[in-house]
Amino acid sequence: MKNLAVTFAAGFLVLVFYTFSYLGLQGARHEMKADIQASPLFNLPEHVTRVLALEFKGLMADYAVMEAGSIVGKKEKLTDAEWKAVERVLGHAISLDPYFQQTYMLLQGTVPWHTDDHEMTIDLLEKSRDHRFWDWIPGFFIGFDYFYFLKDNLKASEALMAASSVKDAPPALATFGARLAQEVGKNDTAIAFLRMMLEKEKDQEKRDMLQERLDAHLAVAVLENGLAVFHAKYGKNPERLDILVSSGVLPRLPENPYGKPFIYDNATGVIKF
Amino acid sequence: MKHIWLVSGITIKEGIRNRVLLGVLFFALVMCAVNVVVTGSFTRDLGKVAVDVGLSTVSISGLAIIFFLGMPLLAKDLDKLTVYLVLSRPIARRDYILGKFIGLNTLVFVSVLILSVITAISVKLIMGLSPAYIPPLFSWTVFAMAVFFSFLSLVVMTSLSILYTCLSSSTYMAFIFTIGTYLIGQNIELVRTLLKQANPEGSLTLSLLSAASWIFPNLSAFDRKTSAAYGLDFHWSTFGITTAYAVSYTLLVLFITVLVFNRRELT
Repeated sequence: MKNLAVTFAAGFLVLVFYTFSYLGLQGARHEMKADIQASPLFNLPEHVTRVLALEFKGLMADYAVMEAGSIVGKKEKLTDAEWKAVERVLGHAISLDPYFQQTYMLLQGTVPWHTDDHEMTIDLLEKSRDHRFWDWIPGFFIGFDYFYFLKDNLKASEALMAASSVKDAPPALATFGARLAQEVGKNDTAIAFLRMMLEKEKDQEKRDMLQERLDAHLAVAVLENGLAVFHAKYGKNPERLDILVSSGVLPRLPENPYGKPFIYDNATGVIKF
Repeated sequence: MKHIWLVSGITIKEGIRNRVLLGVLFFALVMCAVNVVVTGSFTRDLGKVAVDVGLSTVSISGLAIIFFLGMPLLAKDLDKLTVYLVLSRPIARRDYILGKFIGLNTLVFVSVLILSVITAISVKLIMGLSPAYIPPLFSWTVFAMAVFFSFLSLVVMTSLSILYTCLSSSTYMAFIFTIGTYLIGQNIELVRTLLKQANPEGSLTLSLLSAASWIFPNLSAFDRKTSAAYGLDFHWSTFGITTAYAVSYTLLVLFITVLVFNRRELT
């Protein structure tokens, strides 16, 4: 009887010991998880992860995207370190499988809105764009990030115009890209690009849209030439565009195909439509 | 030739009796269900995820057959000397090796075929459920070619596993050598490329790796899962040269295996 009681007591003590150690381990693992923020695998250099992934790179990329998604969905507000972890894991996913659409969609939908490292986001998007030759969206995202986050209209226009050349890209990409190019003083580039797009386009509705935008850029080109002549003659910009006509520089003002007067800033000489 | 078919027939019967094959098929069915669940966690390129999971299952199952069915079958013959039951008949050692090779590859082929059909069904199912989120270039021809290349990779690994089993005195060592060769074969091209990028003028390590690439199989050349997932271009010339590489490498390994086995003392 005594032996049985000792056995039960010993068993009970071992069980209690196990329960405490189990709960302690759970706590330690939880803290470690919160500290690491991502699998140790994705703390390694991308090349090492590619080597370790063997012939299962696609599968590993799927896992990385799921992991990044789980970090994003973990709580309402992530810390800077956690956003860095998301970016790093998605970088691994793109390195493992640069074709995967889910990766760049998750990247663009989260990282640039919460970090200042927009160049890194653009680098990753460029990898997706270079591989997904049939997809205009990564190029559009690159253009958007340059325009919205970095305020670099020249690079934005280049990215958008490149994206608009992809099959089935909406023509609005071309027209918006051309507009941005014109706004940074590259109206000639915008005209050449729109002419090229017009040559390739077969759909009449899209052709009309491109032609209208081309006419606007050609009109701006005429006005810009007039401004250059006026500036050479009088050493300053005219106060209004109609002065180009009254001063004899232009026979008449070209029409804005969008039916509105051109917006003109005489301090900078920039013309918008 | 008759003797080769005889040995291969015995190997196939042994393989079918073994529960590993059943385990592999069970694993495949589980993975098919897992495929549908995993794919449900994504919202884009669902077909790609389904192909990733499916073709990875094909590769893992094929490797499992080589490691847990093929190698133990051959090792058992050599360790327990049941090989004498075959070799005491008028069957040449060469015929025994070739028979084992064909028998094991038949098992691998049947397994790959069943798994591929199951994978194709799950991919088709997922594509039917979410047609808007399928990679636009996806092609069943490229999918079939990727499966074929996966099989070729397993054929190369089978030949190497037989060589290592004949070369080494213990199954454990043969297992380690085969795993090691698999890991090297999967990465040798990638590591060479990375080293070349880091040291364009060359280095001793790079020279050693270049030499090793003549010895170890370039298994990454057979990994076409990404092409299958997105339907990326698959040139027939690449198909031809990769197939020729697999056939020539396998023939060379079999030739060496026969030479080694002919000289091996079976005591």
